[in-house]
Amino acid sequence: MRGHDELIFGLDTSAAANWTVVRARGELDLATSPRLRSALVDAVGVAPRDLVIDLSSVDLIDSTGLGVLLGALRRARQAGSRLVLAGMRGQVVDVFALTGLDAIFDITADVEDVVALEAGTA
Amino acid sequence: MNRAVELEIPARTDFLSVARLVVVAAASVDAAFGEERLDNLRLAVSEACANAINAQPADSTAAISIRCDFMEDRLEVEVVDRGPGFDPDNVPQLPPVTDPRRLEHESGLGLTLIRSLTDEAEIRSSPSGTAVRLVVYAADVGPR
Repeated sequence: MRGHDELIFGLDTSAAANWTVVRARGELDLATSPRLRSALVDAVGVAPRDLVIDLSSVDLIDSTGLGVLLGALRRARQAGSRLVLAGMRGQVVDVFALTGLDAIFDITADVEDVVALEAGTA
Repeated sequence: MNRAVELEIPARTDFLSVARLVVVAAASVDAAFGEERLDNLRLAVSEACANAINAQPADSTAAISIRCDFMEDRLEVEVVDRGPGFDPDNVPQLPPVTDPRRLEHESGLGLTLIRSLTDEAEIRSSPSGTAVRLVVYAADVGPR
């Protein structure tokens, strides 16, 4: 039987072209954010070097989730890696605008935009 | 007619989703709130409850209480914890998000979100606990 956290939040990590793709699903809050933080800590600085976080299936992000993304951006910059947020929708878009974080993250509509562009220019 | 819904949750993070679910379900009963307002309410309540949970000592058995008062034109939610309290007028100021030094801080966005997502937000805090009162109007008739 799955635990509560797994019912409201899911994560998987894969590789596409030169990118590590971390896909989050569900509600990213104080309870579930530690799992995303752990996955992102593991992903920064290892091959593939650059990181795209797929938020297209995230229904809610709170201030803790935003903080985890800020920490990931800091670590990516320190490691010389790119970090892109993909597929944000609904209130997640609004929350980035309300906090001004949309000005500091590299944001794209779709993971495929990032990966396809990279594959095409490789 | 005014109605109220009261809820107590353990001060545990895995009960945050329960608080969100109950408050939004209660606010959805008479269809006064549009989808965007419900989304804002859901996140604001979640932030207030997260702060309340963080305020409790780790070994505390005290509950977080959540009371929703449904008025004709608005919903008022009060989230109360029994933590040690804080001075809401003396929260550390962090650099703006566009300042690279802001990346050194993963916290500090919760109160910003609460104030942005609600029509009114009031924090009363004392050494015996903190009460956060949120007001969301049913439509765009409330003060901004």
